[in-house]
Parts: sequence; C-alpha cells; structure tokens
Amino acid sequence: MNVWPLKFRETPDGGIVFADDAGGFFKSDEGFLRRYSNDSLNASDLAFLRDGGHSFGKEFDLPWTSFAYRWSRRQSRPQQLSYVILVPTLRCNLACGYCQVSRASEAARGFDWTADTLRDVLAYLGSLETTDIKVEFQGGEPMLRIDILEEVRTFCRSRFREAQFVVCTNLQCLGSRELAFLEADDTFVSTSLDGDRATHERQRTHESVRTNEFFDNLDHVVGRFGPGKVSALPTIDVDNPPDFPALLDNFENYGIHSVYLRPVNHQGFARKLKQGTNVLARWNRIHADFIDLLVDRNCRTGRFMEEYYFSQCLKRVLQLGTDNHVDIRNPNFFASDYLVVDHDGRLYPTDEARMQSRIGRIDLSIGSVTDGLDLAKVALLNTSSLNNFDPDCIHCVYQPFCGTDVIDDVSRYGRVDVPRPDTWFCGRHTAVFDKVFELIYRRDEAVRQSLAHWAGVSSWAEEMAPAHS
Amino acid sequence: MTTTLVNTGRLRWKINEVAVEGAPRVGDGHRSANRTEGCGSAAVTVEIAEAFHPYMDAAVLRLQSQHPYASFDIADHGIVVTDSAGIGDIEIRKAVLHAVYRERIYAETLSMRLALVAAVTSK
Repeated sequence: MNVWPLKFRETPDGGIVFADDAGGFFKSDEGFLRRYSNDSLNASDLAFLRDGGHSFGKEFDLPWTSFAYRWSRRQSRPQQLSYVILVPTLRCNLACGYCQVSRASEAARGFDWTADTLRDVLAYLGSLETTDIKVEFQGGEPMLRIDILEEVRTFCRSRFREAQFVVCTNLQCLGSRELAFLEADDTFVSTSLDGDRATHERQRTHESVRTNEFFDNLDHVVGRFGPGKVSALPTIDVDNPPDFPALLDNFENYGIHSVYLRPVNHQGFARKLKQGTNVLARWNRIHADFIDLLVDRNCRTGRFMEEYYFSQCLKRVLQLGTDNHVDIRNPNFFASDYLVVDHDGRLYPTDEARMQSRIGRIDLSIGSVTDGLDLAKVALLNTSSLNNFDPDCIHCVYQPFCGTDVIDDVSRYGRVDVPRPDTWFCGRHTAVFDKVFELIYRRDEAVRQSLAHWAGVSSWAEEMAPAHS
Repeated sequence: MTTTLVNTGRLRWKINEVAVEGAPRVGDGHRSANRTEGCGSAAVTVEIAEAFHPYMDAAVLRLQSQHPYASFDIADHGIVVTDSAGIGDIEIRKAVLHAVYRERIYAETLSMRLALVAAVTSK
C-alpha cells in the first residue's frame, strides 16, 4: 500500500492535524507521526488511511483515480472572463484616511472615463466570449458618473444572456436618478459600514451631517428594496477597532447577516497609516475573538450571522471547488476570469494591482481596452501564482485550502520571493485555518451549530472531523 | 568537532567540519535531546535515527531559516542546536525531528506527486 504524502501541524492541545495534497485531513498525535515517518505504520493506521482515501495500491487503481479527481478539484481552473470591475471615475465625495485607491477629489479633472474610453470599454466588453457577465462598478465613487453606469448597463443587458451589476458606493448622494438605477432587479449595492455610528463617522464621514446622509440613505435603500439588495463591509483599524457586538447589531438591523471583516488594506493612502507594531498578530487576535463572539451570539439568539471570509475558508477545508473568492484560490491565475478596467482604460489583474500602479510603486497594468491584454506580462505574473511546489507551502498542512497573493507580496515587500512564512498573507491565513481547525475539533454544540450554518449543511456530523489515535 | 553547511555559491553547499563551542562530542548524548553547557552557548544535540540522515542537510537549511537566531549543525548522529535561548529542549527536539520528518516525506513521495500532476494535467 502507498500512502499519499501527508503534511502536518501541531495544534495547541498537543494533537497534530494531518492533510494530504487533495485536502483530506484528520487529527492524530505524535505517535502516529513517528510511525508514519519511520515507515512503521500498524494495521490500524493502514486501515484508517485506506478508508480515508489517503492511500492507494497502484497507480490508476480506483483509490488513486479518486484521489486524482479530488486533487484536481482542489485546483482552481482558469475560467472564461466573465467578471469585470469598472472604474468609471477615480473621484470621490469622501476623503477616508485609509482610502486604498488614492482617490481624487470630487472636483478634480482628468479622472473620469472620456467618451472615447467609454466607447472602447463597450467594444472590449462586446468582444468577450462569455454569455454571462458580472459588472462591479468601483471608484472613486461610481455614482458620480451615473450616466456612464446607465450606458454600460444598457449595453450589457443587450449584449449578454445574463448580466448582473454591483455598485460599490458610499451611499452619500442618492437622488431620484441614482435610486431609479438601483431599483432594477439585476443591480445590487455594496457599501462600507464600519460598525456603529461613531466608528463610521470617525473613519469615513468625519462630520455628523455626512454621517446622517449615509445612514438615512442606507435606511432608505434597505427599506425600499429589501435586505437582499445591500451588502456591507466594515474596514477594521486594528489600533482602534469598533465595538463588535454593536457592529453585529447594526448589520443585523439592516438585514445583513454576512459580515466581511477586513483589515485596512495595505494599498493607496492606507500605506501611510501607522498602525503600530505586531499589526498582524493583533489582527489575528481580533479576528479569532470575533469568530468566538459570533458563535456565542448565534447560539444565544438562534439567528445566525457569519464572518464571510472565515466561512469561505471553512468551506475550502470541507468542500471541493470552493474557488469563487478571488482572494483565496490556487492557482490564482491573473486575468483569467476577471479583471479591472481603470479610469483611464488600462487593464489590471486585480483592484489592488491598479492601486499599486496609482501610487507609482510598480506598473502592474496588463494592457488597455484599446490594445487588449499584454499576455507576456500576465504570464510573468502567473509564474508566482501557485503554491503547490513552493518550498514552504509544500510542507504546510493548509496548502490544499490556501491560496497566493503576489500583488500583496509586491505591495508589502517589493518582491514576490519572500519566504512564505514571513509574509502577511501566510501569517493571516495560517491563523484563519488554525481557527477553522480549532473549531472543527472543538466538541461543542454551539460551535457545531455555527459551523454547519457557515458550511451550508443542515447539521454537523461526527465524520466531518475525522480523528485517529 | 561537528559538521556545518557552508554556502559555496549559487545553491551549492558543502559540508565542513568545524568545532562548536560547548557542543557535545558524538556519542556523548544518551537522550535524544541532550543539553550541554560549555564555555560558549548552551547546545542541544537531537539524535537522529540513521534512516533520516540523508535528510538532515535539507532539514538544517529549513530550520536555520525558521529560527534565524539559533544555530543548527550536523553531527555524526544528529543535529546540534546552539544559541536557542528562549526555546525549551522539548520544543527544540520537536522542531528538529519534525523538520527531518518533513524532508524525508517530501523526498520519498516526490515521484508520487510528480506522477499525479503529470497524469492530471497531461492532454
């Protein structure tokens, strides 16, 4: 019998979590590790590994083929380009200190699509092979160019079989034209809500008049269009985090049960934000405590809320093919299924890549709507976009569930070859997966209720946390 | 005397024999993690079973990058760790053994991984 390579990591309770390259995992102990490493597995070990799909008899037998299938489903396959982030303007009517995109002031000139750019963008969209498209309007504040949004939407509705639109807006200015735009069933709102009123004002609006504008408009949109219309994300300053119970109450009041807790992104103006030392450790602590808070709250209220990214990571552990979040997948090939069109018509592989270029750190543009994709540059970026044989990841028990983020590495370290354990990406995701596995193996009913809800299953089954001694 | 890895150029390493102050002589350690105090820094010898010796070089490279303030040297029967202030003996032993285990697992299963990738990605 051949055992597929097992990676392992100690847990705080003295146990050891093992995983194979296809994401099959179990918890055991030092004794099993010693037997496995010394080629002295006993009959019980071999039976457990066979039943768990961690071994095979010979190449291409059923267990081998089954493993190969699961492994292949763990790899994110390049898809047709069907998701575009459009930045019709870089101007914004707010001036957040941690703005990730280095927005331009509302009165600035030269930061909007020109008529020629709009024409070229529509031609570019028209050239895509996909039949379905998702368009995300970003900024700046995209609502400042509602005329462009209307033109793009009209074009996409006629060009594609199905089209969906998300407007990432600060909801500061909503007139009748903007509301009419948002009313359509194929159009959704994504906004920022940094917690309670005081936190939102401190971090974003800075004055009560503007805070009132935002909350009045949020009330209006949720009241008029229903809760499914709006999603909201808080940005967390680790130096001054919000009151999290109040944040959850506030989100729930607006009918939003999924909270994507994001640290300040190390991009744009946010690069200048001083957050003190040990930011990563403090962020990881905040995030882990927030998950515990959610578990307690869900159990107490019976109304389930989630932290979106934690749920995503949990699903990546428990399910195959959870590759729909572009921040965590492997390989994470650029410009395969989504890209960004900036305010000047240039194409970027990610929103963060255009932010890097905006501040002049590095030109990560990969073409333009006029000239098309620069495939050589895309290929260059893609060489560092997979973790399978990275010299550190190959030993990491979380590799099958994790991803890569070349752009974040460039942003923080100016290079892509920093040893993974020294990167923010690795530190953050190791902590998230530590928490995922801590909960998976915490024999607690409250935890299991939340886990089942977050994983999208009706109830938690004992077999979902395999163990061997 | 013990052995160390010396970088002689681009990804090329050779084994040199050098003296490590305070390091135990080969055969001194009867336990698998044996701490000794010499005139220099305290040293711990983690004995490594012979089957794992071919993987000690790779393990030491990895350990050195993971614990840059400690020093890892290869001896005849194991790996000598010096300047590991702040890390307990049990933790040192575990870190060393796990690193050696990982390198052996990697080396001995690489052909399995390559065959898998080739089979899944071939057209």
